Amino acid sequence: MSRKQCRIRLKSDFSSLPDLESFVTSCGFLEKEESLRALIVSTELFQNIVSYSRFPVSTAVDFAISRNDAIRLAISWATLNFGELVRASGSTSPRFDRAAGRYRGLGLLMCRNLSKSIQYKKGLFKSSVIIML
Amino acid sequence: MENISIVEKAGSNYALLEVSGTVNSYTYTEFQTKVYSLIKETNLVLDLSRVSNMSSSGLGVLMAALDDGESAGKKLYVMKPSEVVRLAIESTGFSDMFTVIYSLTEVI
Repeated sequence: MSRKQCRIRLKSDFSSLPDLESFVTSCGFLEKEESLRALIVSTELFQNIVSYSRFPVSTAVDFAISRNDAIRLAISWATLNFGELVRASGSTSPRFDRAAGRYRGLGLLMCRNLSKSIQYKKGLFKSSVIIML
Repeated sequence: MENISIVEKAGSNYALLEVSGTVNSYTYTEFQTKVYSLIKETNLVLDLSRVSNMSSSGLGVLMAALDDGESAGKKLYVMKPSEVVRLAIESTGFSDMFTVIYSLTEVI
């Protein structure tokens, strides 16, 4: 792909992660460092959506990566609990969940640290997260 | 993109896991099981030079293993992290917690 915008629609399922990774790494207009940032941020937000989003009907998640002055990553999906993601994004430190044997909140922290800005947009049918890398 | 491959090898005073592919919520279970099991018994070296993506699922395993290793008197080493692993670790703000090595001769 050599155009300045790439798009993909994925089913909200962890089994879609290889397709997401292939999509990001094949966006030809991304420099190496940009591609790595986009890969990490895309993966983290998709994992969060799969794990926590409540879907009304469709479980499609749309990704678009484009370049203007900066790299813009847009993720859109229909969700009933978008506010929970927005609230979680404001938490400041990850915590270890002993029952699950893993850290919680680490992914959103990584997204914040790898992004210039993250904007949350709640829409009538679909909500979006817009990340400038 | 490939999934995950883990090769386990034994050293004199450590276990070595050579990890290839991607460590994310889809693939991390085997990685988690091996890491949590080994770090309680011996020093653990993770060769991450061929990891093509490392998500918070994998990093969470590393961070928990640091704690477990400290409790058990064992040490966790991250060897030759790939660019994406290095960036992922840096993005957590916890880089200082990890001992990064570039050769097995650095294992104490």
